[in-house]
Amino acid sequence: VAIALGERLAAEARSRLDAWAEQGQQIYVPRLLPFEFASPLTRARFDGRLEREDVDTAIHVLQLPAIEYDDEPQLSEIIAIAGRLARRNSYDAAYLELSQRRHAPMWTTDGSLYRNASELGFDVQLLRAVSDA
Amino acid sequence: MRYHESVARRCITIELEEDEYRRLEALASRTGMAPDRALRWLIERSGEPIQDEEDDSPAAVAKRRAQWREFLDAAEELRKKVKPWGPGELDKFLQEVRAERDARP
Repeated sequence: VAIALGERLAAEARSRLDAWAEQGQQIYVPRLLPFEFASPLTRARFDGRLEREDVDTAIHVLQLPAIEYDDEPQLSEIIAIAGRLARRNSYDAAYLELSQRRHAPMWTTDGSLYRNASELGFDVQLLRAVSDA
Repeated sequence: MRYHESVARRCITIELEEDEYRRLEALASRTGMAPDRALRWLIERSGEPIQDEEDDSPAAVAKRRAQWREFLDAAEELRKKVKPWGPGELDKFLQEVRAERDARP
């Protein structure tokens, strides 16, 4: 999302993804990712920063095979993790449950989520801009 | 009963008798673990090696690299089509998204 929508972390995200590409790594994402992506796209359309005909380009990115969508969410575990995070929703917990089940680190740009989840023992990595480091 | 679990790119498939699966579910229920985690915990505790079925052949790695290049090129192409956020707009948007998610009923 950062790369595609030109966010401030685009360079860092690109660098990280380039490294994973070189290693042939696989990224796993929950099925809710398209909706996470749709939100800034909707805003970009609303703000006039994205033309309507370019929305299809964005959708195409999400359908490429480099990203593997997870179809085995463990809902009871997601709800339990949300409770441990003291969250009233399941979004962050869905990513953490997937990370936990796949034995793979979760990458986030959300500093508060990173701190909270790290303290609870989850394998979380923070993507930060050079200026933030 | 066939039980299959994918972990990263490692996959394990084992056969469980009905009563074994019930015991697994009971363990998961008692510990609060999801059944797949409980199964992995049991396997790791038994010391049995988990078969690594990850395909790291040169052809498979080359294929994944090609998929990545396609993805990154497409993302870069999209970025060229989206006008950048104005000053402070991105932070404001992220705060709005977070506030909507965390809104109390």
